[in-house]
Amino acid sequence: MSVTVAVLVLYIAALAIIGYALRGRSKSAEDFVIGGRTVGPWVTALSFVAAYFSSVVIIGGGAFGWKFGLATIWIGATNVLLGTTLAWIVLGRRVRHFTERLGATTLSGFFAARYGSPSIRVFSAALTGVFLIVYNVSVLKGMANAFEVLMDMPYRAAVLLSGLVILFYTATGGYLAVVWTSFLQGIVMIAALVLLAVFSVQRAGGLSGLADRLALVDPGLVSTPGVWGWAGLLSFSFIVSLGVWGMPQLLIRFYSIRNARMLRVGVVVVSIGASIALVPYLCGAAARVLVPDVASPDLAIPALTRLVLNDWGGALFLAGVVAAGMSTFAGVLLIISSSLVRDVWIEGLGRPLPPGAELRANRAMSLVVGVVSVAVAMKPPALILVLTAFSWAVVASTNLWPLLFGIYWRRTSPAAVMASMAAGAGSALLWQALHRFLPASWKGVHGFLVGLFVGLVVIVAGNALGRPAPETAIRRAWGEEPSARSPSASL
Amino acid sequence: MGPFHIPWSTFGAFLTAAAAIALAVVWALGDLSREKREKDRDR
Repeated sequence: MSVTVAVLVLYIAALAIIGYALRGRSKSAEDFVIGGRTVGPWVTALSFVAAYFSSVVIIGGGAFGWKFGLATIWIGATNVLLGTTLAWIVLGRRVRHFTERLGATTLSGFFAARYGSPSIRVFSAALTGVFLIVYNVSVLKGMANAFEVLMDMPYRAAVLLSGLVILFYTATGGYLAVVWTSFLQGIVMIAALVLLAVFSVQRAGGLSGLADRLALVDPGLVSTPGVWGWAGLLSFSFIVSLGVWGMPQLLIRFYSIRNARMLRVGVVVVSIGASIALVPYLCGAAARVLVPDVASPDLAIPALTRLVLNDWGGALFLAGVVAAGMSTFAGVLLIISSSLVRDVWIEGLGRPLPPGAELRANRAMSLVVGVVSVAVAMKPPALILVLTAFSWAVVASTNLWPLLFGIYWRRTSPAAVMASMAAGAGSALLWQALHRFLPASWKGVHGFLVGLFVGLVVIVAGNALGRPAPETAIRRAWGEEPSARSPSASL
Repeated sequence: MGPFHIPWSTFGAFLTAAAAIALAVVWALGDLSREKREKDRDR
């Protein structure tokens, strides 16, 4: 335990030092929110990996591997191909160019400028803000659960400790602190997962030995789709990969990269880094033969860690799990606070702030949102617990089509976008709310898929009927007119 | 049966991840040559 505490203290101190060292680098709100678009490809790529995979993915992914076997590795593979490589190729360059030309620093700000519609900004910011706070509570809760299981730390102490550290470096150093700490966290996560994978597979007798032993337990634990079946495996792989395309805390990495050329190095680094997504599932499958008697699949990875790693390895793994949660929480925290300040307060309510005051307001708002998230996570109300299961689905199904259509289809109609956002989010919510009343054969369909389908139908139909955005907004987005000079000049 | 006593249907997941990395490399190289072509054309 003393080694674990020492490693953890060192690790948390490193995060705090990074935040403190970068405190003076934010001279404006744009610096605080997107690092002044100065971030290099390596930091962008690894911080993307760290923000993508939270503690829930590591512990929960292991649980899936334990329960359903090697077929779950397909979830990780889909995360790499669809959630990472294709997302970077399809979205990266255009999002980088469009947000710069339009002077947008938030996703809602991009929608407003691209579609020439202030109401889209407020609607998107309010909806995304509310559900991202819920999402952040779930991330914090997952991280604190990891502390509980791996370190025997009381849940509330874990929430407080991790929450305060993140608040300190986010409010102090802004986006640059978030990406640089995420960069460090990405390295720690990769090292921790590779270490666990190597020792677990070795203990199971190599990959062949693992496959043979799993087949003895149940041949369905080795084959695909195996014991899970196609419906569950395919839909889960799809939703946790395509969801990325509408999540603001991941899309922001494209706004902040130094220039579009950096995406070339970035896409290769991020694809290699994201390959760690396969590891929790592989380790979970290894846990099925190495620790078959765990009380719950969620305990598979912690039990495996104790079995195959020594104190130092276990400490590194705990740091990796904590890193995964912290980087996701910090990224989301910054998105919520910047959206509330710029999209809701300044643009929505029409309360302009001078540049210095906007920077201070962003710092203050990140503290407020962080404190609220920590307070709610200490004892989440029942409703919040219900919402955490699909809050990300509402956010992703709200944003995905308006973003994709906005960067590829000039004639996309603002009215269609607004209708698609409302229909996508509404149907995802309604589906989850009515879930228990659905026939058994429909229960496997996640609300995200429903929201995505309804949102697509509405935006396509709306485009056929509605008028496109003002010509000036389109020309500016496509670089045919001078860019917006500052974020506030976006409308 | 594929490598390591794992069926091809499952081993394909590892190959898919590798293919994603290869796709990233090919895209990056393609993008670089596209930029060079555009620069040459502008000259």
